[in-house]
Amino acid sequence: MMERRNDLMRSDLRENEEAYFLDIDLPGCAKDKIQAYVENEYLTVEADFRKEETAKTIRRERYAGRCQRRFYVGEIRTQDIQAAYKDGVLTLTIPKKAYERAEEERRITIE
Amino acid sequence: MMFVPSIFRDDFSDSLFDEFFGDSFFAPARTARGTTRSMSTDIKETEDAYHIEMELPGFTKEDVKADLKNGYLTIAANHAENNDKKDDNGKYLRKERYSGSMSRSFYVGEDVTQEDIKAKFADGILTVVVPKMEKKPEVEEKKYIAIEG
Repeated sequence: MMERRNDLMRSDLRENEEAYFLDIDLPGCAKDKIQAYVENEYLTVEADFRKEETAKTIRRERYAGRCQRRFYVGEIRTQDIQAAYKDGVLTLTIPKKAYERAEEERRITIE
Repeated sequence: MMFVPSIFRDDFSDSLFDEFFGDSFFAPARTARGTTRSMSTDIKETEDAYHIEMELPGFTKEDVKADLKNGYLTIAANHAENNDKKDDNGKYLRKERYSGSMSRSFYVGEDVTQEDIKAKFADGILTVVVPKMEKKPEVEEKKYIAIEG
């Protein structure tokens, strides 16, 4: 059962000369519970916030399930993207060179 | 067209939920513009304390201040960035994350002091442990009546 929410995985997109940066809020998520991959020109980021209940919870506001978000990135490869998780934010870096390479590979050489 | 994320609208739901947060103990977080659904908090209870876990992604320990006054524990977060320093964050193409100041208060009672409260911050989660205090019984002073005679 999926539902849309606009308060999870809030993301900023920024760029400088060399790359695009995607900052996604994923507070308190274990690194091994975050997955990111490129498939069919979309970058998909999945996060699993499920945790074992260790103490009695008297109020829950934080999201405690799985979530996923997709971004259209074009013809780049999973290995072109670098990812780092710090202070609860996942930052994905896509070097602009990845697009130049994709552009070149698209060309047909004329003998 | 590059980077077309899902169609998520901001703001819209923040004000929509204001009315549901009338409860003064669980008042929502506040920003300069009003209330926000940021600073989502879980509260867990153990035998001798309350554990408050609050989401503050993108902040560092230095950005977060917690204080206790008149029985209210207030957590405030703002980016203590030095604006003089050249900040190469790059140009923003899309901004959804809130980058201003925000604060949220919880009533914890007047029996606890600020030294009793422990806090730590990791991976964008602030965990505050507020011990359950026993109400100190008032010492009864017996007032003796002098008996003449």
